[in-house]
Amino acid sequence: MKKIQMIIIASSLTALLGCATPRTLVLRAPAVSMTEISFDAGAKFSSAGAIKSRFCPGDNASTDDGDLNIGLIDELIAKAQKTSGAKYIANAQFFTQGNCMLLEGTSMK
Amino acid sequence: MKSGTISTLIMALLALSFTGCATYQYAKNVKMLSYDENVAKGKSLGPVLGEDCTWTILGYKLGGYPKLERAFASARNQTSSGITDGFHSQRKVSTSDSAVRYMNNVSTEYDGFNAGIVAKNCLIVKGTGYR
Repeated sequence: MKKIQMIIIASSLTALLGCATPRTLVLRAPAVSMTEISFDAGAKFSSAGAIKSRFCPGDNASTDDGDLNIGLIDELIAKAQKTSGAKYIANAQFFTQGNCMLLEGTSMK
Repeated sequence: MKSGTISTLIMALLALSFTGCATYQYAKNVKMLSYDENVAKGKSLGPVLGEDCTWTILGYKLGGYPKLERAFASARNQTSSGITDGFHSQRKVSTSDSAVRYMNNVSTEYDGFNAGIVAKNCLIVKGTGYR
């Protein structure tokens, strides 16, 4: 019985440690986009709320053009824009967490 | 074994081998990355490049690993990497008019050399600059 308790405790600790993988800020950019290269001088946009996206190796890559070479930042931005319909993402912050990358920013429409 | 099971296994193995072959980099072809809140169309500066490098001398690494944010700051300021870069946690970002305001078609790659007693590892950022 004690053995089972030890196993349960060890498994719980491992799971907790797995969740506690620290994230590291690797890049900040005031604006990023995978659909537009620039905007007209008079163009006006408004904030449509905070947005997050996450990409891990092995996830389906939407920007892969067949050469199996995948840009993690490309994927994060494309995923965030696709889900929010944003023209660009403002105040973008890119983090690494384990093998994955995360994006946090503001959707601009 | 049924032929359906065999073909499923083959498909799974193929999918696994494709996933295994994929390589990842920070950025491959990011359409637009701006250093400024102003995202209006600007004047082209042509190809721009930034780098952050770590030197290793006689097996001793001078500073930490190359950092993405420092490489992007280098691209913005159009400054080359120095041997003491690894000792600084941040690189000053210029706000002068000559600085790059945004970049198109941004990609990153690793480069460097190892000559035995001295080695250099760099993270390079490339793109088309605009101000």
